[in-house]
Amino acid sequence: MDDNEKQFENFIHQIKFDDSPDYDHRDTLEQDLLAAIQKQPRQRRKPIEIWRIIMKSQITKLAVAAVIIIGVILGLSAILEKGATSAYAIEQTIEAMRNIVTVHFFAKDWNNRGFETWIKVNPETGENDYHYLNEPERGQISISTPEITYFYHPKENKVRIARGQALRSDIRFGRYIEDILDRVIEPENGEIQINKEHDPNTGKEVIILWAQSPSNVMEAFIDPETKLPIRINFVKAVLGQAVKSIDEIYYNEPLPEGLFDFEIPEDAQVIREQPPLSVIDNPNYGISAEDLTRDEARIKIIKEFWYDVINKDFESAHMLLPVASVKRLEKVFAEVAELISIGEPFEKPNINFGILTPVRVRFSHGKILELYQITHFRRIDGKLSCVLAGEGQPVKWIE
Amino acid sequence: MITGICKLRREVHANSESRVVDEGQLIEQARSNPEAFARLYRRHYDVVFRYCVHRLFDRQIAEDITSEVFLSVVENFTRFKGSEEQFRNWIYKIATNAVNNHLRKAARRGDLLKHAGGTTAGQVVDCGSSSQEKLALLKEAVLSLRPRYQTIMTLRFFENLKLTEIAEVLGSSDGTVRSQLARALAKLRKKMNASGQEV
Repeated sequence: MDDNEKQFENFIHQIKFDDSPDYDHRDTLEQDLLAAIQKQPRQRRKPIEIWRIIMKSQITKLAVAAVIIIGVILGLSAILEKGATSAYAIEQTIEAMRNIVTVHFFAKDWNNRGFETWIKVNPETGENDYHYLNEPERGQISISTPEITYFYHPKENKVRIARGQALRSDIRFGRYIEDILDRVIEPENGEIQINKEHDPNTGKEVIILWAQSPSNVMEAFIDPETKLPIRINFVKAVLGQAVKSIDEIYYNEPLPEGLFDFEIPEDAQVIREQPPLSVIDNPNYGISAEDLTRDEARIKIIKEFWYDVINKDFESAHMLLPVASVKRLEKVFAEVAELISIGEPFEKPNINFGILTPVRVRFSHGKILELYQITHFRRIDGKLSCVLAGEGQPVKWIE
Repeated sequence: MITGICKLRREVHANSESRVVDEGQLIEQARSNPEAFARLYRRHYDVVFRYCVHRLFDRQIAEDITSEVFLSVVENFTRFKGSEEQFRNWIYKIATNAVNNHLRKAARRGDLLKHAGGTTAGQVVDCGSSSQEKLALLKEAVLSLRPRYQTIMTLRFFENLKLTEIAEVLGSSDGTVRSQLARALAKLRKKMNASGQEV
């Protein structure tokens, strides 16, 4: 609390005001609430379960039945959003986002560094096919296409080139809301709430979609007319979720000419990377896997990582999981008290840079977190080593 | 009980902290057991009422909004799946929306400040005209702020929430809350200083 705040607090200390509750009101209201509970249907359907039924149903996957499904969904949504905003259904946003062709947004990462992004979306798949990312505070412009990715540092006049689409995300922008709900919120049995509120930023009423699970909290501000998000905040997110807030979003704007056609500047230093360069291929991080089997190395790095975390040595933990900053590790894992289990490894089709291992850890408050740690093996100068490269979804609490 | 606001809010939070141990279980029980729901309700009634009265400076309206908040909790309780701490933040969020809705409607009717001004004297308890005047000035200044600023000021100074907790309630970042708190405080001071009250 700074001096201004202290001064103000002192001021309100001097005011005496009767703010004590009236227990007659409390008791009367209690009776009203119990009566309201009695009136509720006994088998009240839970919205998230309805959501799960819709999303996992084979019918939803059949485009030919789309018209019927939209009708069904809208009907269910009326139940789902009873008491909130009956005129709006999440499926309207999902449908609207499926028609996005381009998106241009300004966002912040968890270090509050701003960045600007243009994405050309493939409407069929929702994937971010072409990606332009300008990070002024990092001094880097990245341009990624299905064939090639350029990382350009104007100040150093240096270009790194990686094969293929190196700016990857688990969340497809053309399916943003449904991916967040389906891949992040739903696996943890999260909940959604829909409200309408006056938005001081736009001066208009907006729909607020609040999606919350034990590890993630997202708030999307949705334009009631277009049904598209105009702003998205993550109040809380698991490790590996880079975006903290998307503050301004523009849809289907014409792409600036030549946006994805990168020309290597004259005299630029060019570094060709294969596979795409990232911190996980930096030999300064990770452990040597020489003289170990891959399985032994996988278990060793996971054990060492959690040993460091439990001993609050987050700098050492960061050297094993370099995609997470020391600060972020400390924030997320400060309360980890025990490594409970390391499971059998497996692969996932959309994660092609490492193998996943289910790991369970207990926090000091007693809850157990399950996460899928990715171990990435690399051979640098002929020597095999490995590093932790993040987590696969879902990260969830086990009671 | 009549007391200084700050002292009181600390007592409320101290009590809350000692309860959280079994509140997770209570939330689960409350889903199917009305008696458990009633216990959960009684644990949070004071917090909600005080938040409402600190936002609105009117006991009668605060009671009405408190009723609205808990009816909304009953209506939406099956959708809540978080921890005890998240439950508190959830009800703060519901209360914030309810208070803001009320303020918007009242502002449309143009009677908020007038009504609030009229009820001030009756609620200040025999503590001299100075305290009464200060409360009236504070009330007028707070109610002149944007609802979001009012929420932040109340949660920070009356409910004693940390910036991270306020950020959770508002679905915002700590940094945004910090800067909005500073702006709200500056506006409030300016307003009160202009009325001759140094803060």
